[in-house]
Amino acid sequence: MNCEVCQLKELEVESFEIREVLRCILHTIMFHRALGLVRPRDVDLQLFDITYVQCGDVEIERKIDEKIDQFISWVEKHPHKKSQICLSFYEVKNNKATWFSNKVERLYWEQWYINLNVVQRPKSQSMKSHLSKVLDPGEESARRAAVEASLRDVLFHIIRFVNEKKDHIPPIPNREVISFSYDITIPSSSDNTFGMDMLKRMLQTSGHPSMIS
Amino acid sequence: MSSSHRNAHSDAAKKEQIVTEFFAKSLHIILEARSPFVSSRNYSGDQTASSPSSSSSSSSSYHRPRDKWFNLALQDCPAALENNDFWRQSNLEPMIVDVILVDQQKMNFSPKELFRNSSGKEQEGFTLEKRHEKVIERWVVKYENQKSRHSTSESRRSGLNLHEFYKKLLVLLRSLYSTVRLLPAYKLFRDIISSGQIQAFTLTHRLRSFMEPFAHREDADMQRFGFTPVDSSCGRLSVSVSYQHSLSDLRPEPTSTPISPRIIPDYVGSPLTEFKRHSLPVSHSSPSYSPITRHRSWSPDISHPSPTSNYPSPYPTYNDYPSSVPRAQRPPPMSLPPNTSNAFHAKYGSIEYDEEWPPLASLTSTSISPPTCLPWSIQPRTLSRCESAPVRMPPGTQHVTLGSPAKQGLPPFSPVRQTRPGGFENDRGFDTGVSAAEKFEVGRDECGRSLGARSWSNAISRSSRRLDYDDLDFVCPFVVDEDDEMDPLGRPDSRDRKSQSREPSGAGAELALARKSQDAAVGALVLMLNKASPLLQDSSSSTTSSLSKFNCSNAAQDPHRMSQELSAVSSVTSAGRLMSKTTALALEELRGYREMKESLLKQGSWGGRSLDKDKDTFAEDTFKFG
Repeated sequence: MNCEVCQLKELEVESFEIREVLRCILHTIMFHRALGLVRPRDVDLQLFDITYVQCGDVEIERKIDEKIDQFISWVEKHPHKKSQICLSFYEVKNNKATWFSNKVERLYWEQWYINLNVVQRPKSQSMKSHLSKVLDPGEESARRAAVEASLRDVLFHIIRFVNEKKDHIPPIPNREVISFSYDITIPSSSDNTFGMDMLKRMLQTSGHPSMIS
Repeated sequence: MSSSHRNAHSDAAKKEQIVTEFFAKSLHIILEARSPFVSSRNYSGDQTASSPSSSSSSSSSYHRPRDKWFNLALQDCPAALENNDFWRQSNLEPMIVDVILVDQQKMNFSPKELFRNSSGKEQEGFTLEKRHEKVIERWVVKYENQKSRHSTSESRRSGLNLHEFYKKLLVLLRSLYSTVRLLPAYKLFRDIISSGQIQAFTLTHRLRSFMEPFAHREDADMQRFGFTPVDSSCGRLSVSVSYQHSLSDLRPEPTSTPISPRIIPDYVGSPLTEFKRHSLPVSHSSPSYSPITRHRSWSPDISHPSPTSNYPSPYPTYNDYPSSVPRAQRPPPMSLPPNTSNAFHAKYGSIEYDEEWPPLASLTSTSISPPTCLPWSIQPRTLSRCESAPVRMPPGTQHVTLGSPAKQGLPPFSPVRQTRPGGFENDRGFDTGVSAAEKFEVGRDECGRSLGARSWSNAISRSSRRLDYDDLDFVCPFVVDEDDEMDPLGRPDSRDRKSQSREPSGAGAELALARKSQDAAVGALVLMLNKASPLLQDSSSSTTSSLSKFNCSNAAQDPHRMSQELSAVSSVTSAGRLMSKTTALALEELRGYREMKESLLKQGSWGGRSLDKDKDTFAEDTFKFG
């Protein structure tokens, strides 16, 4: 089974927009992959004129918020850096024991890369900083509109991808299982280890509670 | 072999059932986010199970059977649920759902078209329809049956195909659900259901099994988005949407008039206002209109999701509205409840409907929301009929406004105007259209009254306060009629002003109506006084002298003087109020009157006895004024 990869368009956002943007994108992806019985919930963004859909599962919402909090903490420590968040769906395969591990293996069948460029604008504490860095209201509204348009593009990209690629989706176990197994990978303490984190994830044993019993 | 055949047939039947349910579900998803009556936005996520385990354990009892189809539990949508039976009849017919933006301003203020339609021409009725309706979205769901050419040996894979087919439809419906909320029309829908007030526009839908082509211009404005079709061994299921990428130019802007249609506080308690309220055929829970505050545009680049290469866009040009297609050839679209659509059809003969469908009683409940909850065909039509067809007016207004052009009473439609944004600007639009139709006197009356309605109403309210209209017992604004009788208004200028007031000249109309208010007040007072015998003029009391001036003949002949005397009475009244600090003062007055009575009685005339009665009446009035 192929692993379909979707690279989403990079979004340039400010730090206070991270939470809403990530919630919107992650929940939209999850809603399309939560093929169990769900009761969708519409959520209106506060900063943008966009309504996205959550699958309504509290556990999924909790995990997404947790990862977003971790990402925001990382962004605060590493300002003005482009970052990537990876949402991956996998199947748990019981393989024979290998020299890596005796435990089950994850077989990733889909990966979503959310690319963010977090721009941090200092608050106008002094006249100099105000004139040089802080946008005036007109520019701010234009910037906000651009971010909204880009976010909408990203959401439509997700929808198109979801529609076009369906053959790789594993069979749905049963109705009670809300979603396929997934994990969310955020940049770790340093950029160098980001790739290592990806490798670790691929070789990882059951570090996360499996959604499939 | 036989078992494989049976399996194949079973799978084919299951696929048909899946397709049927898919049509129903997709319709539900679309209407849930486009039909202002019920929306899933009212559904709170808190109602969901708090954890997967609890959701799994309670899923069987928590979700209804239809929720389990495609694992998508949706909120009830009566418009969608009642249409299900239709689509189950044939999966091969496409399902076309048109989402229509209805401009209620244009609907209410297009009397020209209404008047022309009164002659029974359906074409012009459709012209009216076109002016205020715009198809902003068209959803097409279709299932193209493809006869399976596979050999029977492949029937074993049909079972697997069935699961694959179902899984892909699951994903398709998820993406449909998301897309419905990302398109521009969703903002309109959200505005309508969130405002809770009467909007200048509303959304409705039309369900058909055939595709009415767009006009060339409309087609050029439409963006298209096609979901990837899902193939099965039996057919191909596809969903696509054509939508207006920018709705900011379509949405009617709120009028810039400073006056919003609201109930004027001065009217409260006034018999004129009470009459107007009770005589209205349409009740509106929200008298105020709030203009559209959120203006959004749909940037073109967002809508560039091009349809997939294997999905063509099959939309030819669009001609006129359904009038061009004989109704016999068209299946009912089931977009309107039969009670309302019957009425509409009787008038315009254009909208298709299914008479056998049960009425959507819940939709017409005013407890849901202001008239936005009603199909546009009900409320605006009723309003327009009220305005344009006097015979349909309730009796309360009818005897006021109908008849001679001179009988221009209160504007019975001013509360009706609360549904419209703004005031004078729309009224002027109404006026220009009305002037063309002489036989619709209500329209003309409206025309004359509308511009000066506010000033007239203020004048009448002021005069009512002065004269303490609690004493008066008039139920309807007949005072104008009475005024006409008692004060023939033989002054030609007044009638000319009335006729002029039909024209949209604000100053003249206001002057005429102001005069009419004074005349009305005068007439009412005169009527009251007519019941009593003429007062005896007495110079000993200032109150007596001022009140004695109310001679009915004088009042009838000189409204100006009457107005002056009214103001004098008002001053007297205010003075009387001051005087009534103690009953002792009043008693003193009474004693004075009794003395007068005795003196007159001494004369031994019949007039003295009448004066006796008059004095008593006068004393009572004085008390009242005091």
